[in-house]
Amino acid sequence: MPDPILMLEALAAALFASALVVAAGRLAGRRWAGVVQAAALALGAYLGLAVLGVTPRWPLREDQDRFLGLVLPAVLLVEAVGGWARIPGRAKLAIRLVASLAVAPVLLYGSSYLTDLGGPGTADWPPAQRYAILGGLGLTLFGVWSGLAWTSRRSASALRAPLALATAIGGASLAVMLSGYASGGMNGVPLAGAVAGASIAAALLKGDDRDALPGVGAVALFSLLLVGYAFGELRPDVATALFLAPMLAAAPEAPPLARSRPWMRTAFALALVGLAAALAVGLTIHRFQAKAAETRPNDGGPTADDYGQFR
Amino acid sequence: MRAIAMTTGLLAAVLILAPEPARAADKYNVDPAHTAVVFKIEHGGFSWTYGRFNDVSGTFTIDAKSPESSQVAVIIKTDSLDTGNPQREGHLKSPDFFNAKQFPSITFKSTSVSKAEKGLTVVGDLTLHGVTKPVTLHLVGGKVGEFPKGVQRTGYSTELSIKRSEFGMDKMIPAAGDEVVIMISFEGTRP
Repeated sequence: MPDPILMLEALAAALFASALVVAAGRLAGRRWAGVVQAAALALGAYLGLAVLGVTPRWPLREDQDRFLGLVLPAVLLVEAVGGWARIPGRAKLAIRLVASLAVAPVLLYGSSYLTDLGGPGTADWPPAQRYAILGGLGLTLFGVWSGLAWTSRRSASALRAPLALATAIGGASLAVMLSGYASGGMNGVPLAGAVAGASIAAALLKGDDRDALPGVGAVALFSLLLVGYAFGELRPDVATALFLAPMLAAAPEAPPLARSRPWMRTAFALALVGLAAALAVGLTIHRFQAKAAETRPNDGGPTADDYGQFR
Repeated sequence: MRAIAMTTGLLAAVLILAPEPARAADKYNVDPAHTAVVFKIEHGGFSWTYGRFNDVSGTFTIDAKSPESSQVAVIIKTDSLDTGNPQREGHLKSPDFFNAKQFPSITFKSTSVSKAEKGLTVVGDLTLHGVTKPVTLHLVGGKVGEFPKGVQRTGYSTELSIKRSEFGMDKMIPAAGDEVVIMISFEGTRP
């Protein structure tokens, strides 16, 4: 397990760095909000990762390299440019769909899931199954990304969707760490910090969260869970629960909750997301402990103590 | 009749006096039942943790008359890692260490072989974690025999030390040491 103090330092660095960039970005006009938020997330995430000693490496040989060197910069760019260039809504959706469909193939590139590494026909997912899985994953990401963007606009809260995402990313980080992929899970800590920091600063300064935060957060969460499942031992039920947890932030928009005060709706939404994330992490902890117990079997035979006592 | 006898005699003489043809190099298949790839790695400087790979295959060609013509090629399946602790194995197969889904095989392919005092010196390319680096194996052994009857067998053993960070496996150092000692013992059979 990575050093918890170091992880807290990374979280704090990411949180404050992204909050400062958002605060400074208030000097720019509304048109630059997307660029400012993307810059805040980029600085926060990469600074936090640097505290952990994680930097993108070239060539992009492994999933972490591809996430840090390709996926994260690409989604930051998409969200920054999308807000600044005033791209029409349908074009934005099309770009979001393409980006969503590209994430899983990039993260799994060259792995035994997609590639015949042991000779022809040895890939874990045969071609027909492969495209169905990748398509399904891409469409799921697109759905959650769009759903969170809608929630952000609908809730009129700079906190709700991003903090829901930060909560889920934090939970996913812990779950992946406990699923045999410590360094992969650890990367989620600064990502959660960056999203939370930008969101809190936006809320305090009466800013806006309808630009980069939901998209980048959704892609970060998806990536974290996918690599945890594909390269670690994260179970699909936990991964699914954690990925869909932020969607609970939309629940208070349904009647009768929709008529309650905004802060109450936000608090209720975050409580729901927190509960779902806690349950998923709790289940992972339980499984981790159960597996640890399996490695110390007690078959009822003599123990070292029996020998020591000459029984 | 005399001509036939003479011809037969000459032919017999030629066959008897002719030098024995040089025996071709012997090609062996790695016998997994008598092959072990065991490694040890320091755990936080307290002790050494041992593990092994259960799926090892390959071929090697031994040319006793011309050792430089000998060849060795071995494939180890990363997923066959066994440390006696399923939880640790899961972690070792993740990208924190071997990244078995990205790099499912560890391979060794010889580039040059020379005769040594107790066996062979084999220089070759070790590909581990997707990184290929030259290593030298000092193979000890080479006894050739028939066991069981009808099966020609030979075997070697060696030990080498590598730094895992040089192969891109640089996470969790020093909790798990950088130096990995690998002990290999293998037999090969041919009909």
